[in-house]
This record gives sequence, structure tokens and C-alpha cells, in this order.
Amino acid sequence: MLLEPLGPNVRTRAHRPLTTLQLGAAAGAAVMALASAGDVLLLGALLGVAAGDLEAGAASVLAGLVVLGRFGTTSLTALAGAQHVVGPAGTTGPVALAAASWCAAAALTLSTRAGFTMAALFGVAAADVVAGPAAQSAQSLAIRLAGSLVAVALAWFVGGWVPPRLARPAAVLAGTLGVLLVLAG
Amino acid sequence: MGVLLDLAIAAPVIGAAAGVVVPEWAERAMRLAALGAAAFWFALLVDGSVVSVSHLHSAPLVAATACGAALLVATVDDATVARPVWAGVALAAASVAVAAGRTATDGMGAVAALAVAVATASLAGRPSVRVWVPAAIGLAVAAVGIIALRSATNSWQLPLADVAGSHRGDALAVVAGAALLVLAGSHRARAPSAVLVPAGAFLATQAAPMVHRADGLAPAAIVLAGAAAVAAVGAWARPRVLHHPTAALALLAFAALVAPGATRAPALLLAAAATLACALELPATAALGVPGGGALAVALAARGGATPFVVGALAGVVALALAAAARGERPVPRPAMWSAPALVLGAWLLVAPGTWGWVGPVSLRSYDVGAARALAGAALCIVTLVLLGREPGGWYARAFPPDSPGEDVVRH
Repeated sequence: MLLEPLGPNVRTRAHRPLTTLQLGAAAGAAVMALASAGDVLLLGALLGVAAGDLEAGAASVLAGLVVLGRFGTTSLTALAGAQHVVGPAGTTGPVALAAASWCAAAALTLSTRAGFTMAALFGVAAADVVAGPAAQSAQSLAIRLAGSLVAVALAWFVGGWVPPRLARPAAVLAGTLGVLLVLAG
Repeated sequence: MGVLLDLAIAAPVIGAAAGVVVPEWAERAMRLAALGAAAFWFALLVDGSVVSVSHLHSAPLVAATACGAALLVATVDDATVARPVWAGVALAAASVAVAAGRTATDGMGAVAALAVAVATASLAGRPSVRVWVPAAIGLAVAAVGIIALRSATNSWQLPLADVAGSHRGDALAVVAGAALLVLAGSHRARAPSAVLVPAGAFLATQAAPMVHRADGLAPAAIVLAGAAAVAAVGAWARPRVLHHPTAALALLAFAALVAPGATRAPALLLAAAATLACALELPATAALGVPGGGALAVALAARGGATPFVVGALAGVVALALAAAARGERPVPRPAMWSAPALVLGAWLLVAPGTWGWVGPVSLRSYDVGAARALAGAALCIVTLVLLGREPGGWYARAFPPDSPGEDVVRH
């Protein structure tokens, strides 16, 4: 039996094959996010290319700007090191700055697109921003793994069930809110 | 190294002379001479020392600018060149402009040589009012600024030895004139007049320290960043009057030059991106601004305050508008082989901008590390997929094809 979608806006895990450029960008971003190495703004740009969507790219770069505003650096290594020392960004520091980190993570999660690979990529990147300490102890590793699992699950849900016409503006809004919170904090 | 400087200046003239002798080979001679000049300037850039021959000199910034100008002439579009001989002369004039002075830039020498470059570039292509009018006004404004500086300090040098002196207005006139030169040069990518883009950026770079002084000039930075945003948003307008990535990136570089904070190195990266974007003319060349934009964001965030925030927001508008315009572009033909050196330099800028030491100190180490790892990961992924013979996605769509081509029609 063949079923057709009821309307043009139904997303529900609609398959859109990745182009070679998107695939390469996704692989590059995955290496950076998993290894916590590189520049968070470059990571945002690569995520935008991987998603093939301007709003997703803008939201990802806004998330990077939140990191820059809060930690004063765009280095993912420095971000992971800081979280290893003082604790996950989402649970430490002033409330406004912690909330900004959550907004950045939300922006990344909402920027994902359908497909488990993409959900894993955006989820790991989101976990880096809000709960991604350098895995130099069992506790840090546990926090990072737990944060990544939750973020990937959320991204998987968003990619499959939230229509892009809602998810993309929400992602940009979350990123903008994060930047404003950092400025206020 | 003095010989290299001589050869770098002489190569375009030799190419032009060869074009006069053998007219049917003029275009090829122009390109080969330009590539030769680019190679000589690149050698001087790698050497990194200050080389002086008579009234000309080479420093890293000079060599980088002249190398960019030579690459622009090597990649010009056939359709934009009516008289290739004059394109070679324009390159030689632009090279003399950036190299003018014994050990530091001679402001009036640079402007005079640029006037020759504007005239010969107009002769080389199809003269357009939108090129020579802004270029002439820009040169006049810059000349006024330089003469005013000379009157005040009895020196043609750019920048002055005492950059903290009270010469902001005069230096700002030079920067404004340079901005007009860049707008004239970005009228069309891969045209002979494009040599004005790196030359104008060089002029602004030399005058900017006198505008910047201790902590930048906020109104000028905001106005220039706003102009960059307008140039970027203009990419959606039809018909197009500019090569928008070039104009937007160059104007953003000018804004960074006079913005508060340590923004000189990001500005030079953006200017390099503008030059290479003009040489390549591919829709995705706006991406060359990513390293400079990232470094600018870091520098502005480190400085903090209202002006850096406004400049940063306008830079975000530039990035967004250029990205949106690049997405809407139609595919372009494969670049000619003459573009190969510019493509290589573009890839280098995108992957390892931290190794571009001539721009000065810039915090891009994490960028370099991340870009190298991302590139390796992407290459590994793509090569693996190719070797396994798997398409990136949509496998099930081929595994279960329709029974017949008309099946969909029957279903409906």
C-alpha cells in the first residue's frame, strides 16, 4: 500500500539525500565536535553547510557567538577545558550565562534535519556547548556521554517530528536570545 | 632579493612588449607575465624582509598586495579584455603604486601610479563610467588627504612615523578615496580594472593607523560596515552593478581597519578574501571571508562596547546576505586553468589562515587545527564512500524502484 503525505508541510523523517559537499561538511563538523578541537564559529558554519539551510547556519553561528561571549574564546578545546575545571556550562556561573548556554544548545538542536546521522552531529555539538567537559576523568566522561545522549535524542525527535518551518525560526530565536543573555550577563 | 623585485615590476612590462610585437599572442603573454610577476612577488612575500631598489621597495604587505593584483590580471575574463597590452601596463602601474618609496610607502607616488593604473585599466577593458568616475573621485580625495598630510608634516610617507599625531581627518580622506577605488575595481570581477581592489585596500591599510590611533574611530567604522552591509544586500538587486562579495568583503575590511580593538589582522584577511573573490568569481567565494570574519568577531568581543557590537552586527548582516546570495546563484562554468593559483591560495586561506604571517598577530590557532581535522575527516569520509561504491543517501529509493515508469501516473 502506498501512502502520500497529507500536506506539503508534513516533515516526518522525509528523506533528502545529502550532497557531497554536505556530506563532507558533516564529516568535518563531526570530527571537530567529537574531538572538541577547532573553532566554534567554523563548526557553526560547517553545520550550516551540512544542514543546507541558511537559518540553520545562522543559528549555529549564533550559538558559537554565545560561546565566544561567555568564555572569551572560540576554541572548542578551551571550552571543553573550562567545563572540565569549573563544571558544565549549563549548570555553573551566573543564571543569565547558564541560560545563554542552554539557548545555544537549543539553537543547535533545533537546527538539525531529518536522519539519525544529522541528529547525532547536531546533538553532539549541542552537548559540547552546554555539557561538554574534556574527558579527562570518569566523571567528566560520564557527564559528556550523558549530555550527548540526551542531546542526540532531542535532535532526533526534532528532526523527525518538528516541521522545519517551526524549528528553523525557533533555532534562530534561541540563538539570538542566547547572545542577548550573554550581553546582559 | 633586489633582482626579484626588479623582475616582479618588469615582468608585466615585458609581457606587454611581447604583446605589441606579436599581437595574436598578446593575451597569453599578458597572463604568463602576470603569473610570473605573481611568482616573484610571492617569493618576496615568503622571504619577508624589506627589499629596496632605487625608489621602490618590497615589504610583506607590499608583496602580498602586488601578488594579489598579478593574480587578478592572470585570471581576467576574455570577454572583459579589449586590449591585453594595456592590462599588463595597468598591472605594472599598480605594482609600482604599492612599491613606491625607498623603505616606506610614498603616498603621492602611490596615488600618481594608481592614476596611471586607472587610465590603463580603462584602456584595457571596455571603459565604463561606473569604473573611471568613482576611481577618479577616489584618487582626487586620496590625493587631497595626502597633500594635507604633507603640508602638516613635511612628509609623503604612509603611514607617518608618528601615527598618534592629530591627522585623523587627512588620513580619513585617504581611506575614503581608497574605498571609492575599491568600489570602482569591484564593478566587475575578473576585469582589468579589478587591479584597483588590492591597490585600494593597500592604500587604506597604510592610512588606517593614523585614523585608528589608540582605539579606532567609531563613526567611520560604523559607516563603512554599513556600506559593506548595503553592498552585500545589494546582491539580490537586479541588474547587479557590482561584484558584491568583493565590494562587501573589502568594505568590511576597511571598517575593521578603523574599528576599535586589535582588528588590523582580521581586516587584512578580509581584504585578501575580497581580492581572491574578485579573481575567482565563483558563488561560493564569499566563504573566503570566514577566517577573517571569525577573527574579527574574536577581536571585537575582546574589545567590548557599543561600537564593536554594532560593527559586529553589521558584519553578521554581511555574512548572512552573502551566504543567501551564494545559495541562490546558478552554477558557473568550470574555472579556467589560469585560475588555479588563485584557487590554491583561496583554499590555503580557508584551511590555514593562521599561517598567513604577513597579516600580523591573529588568534586563529584553534581555527587552523579545526579546519585541518575537518578537512581530513571530510576527505576520509568521501574517499571511503567512493571506495565502497555507496552513494551518500537514498539507497532504498533505488532498491525499490517503481515497477514501470508510468506507475506514478496510474496511482494518481
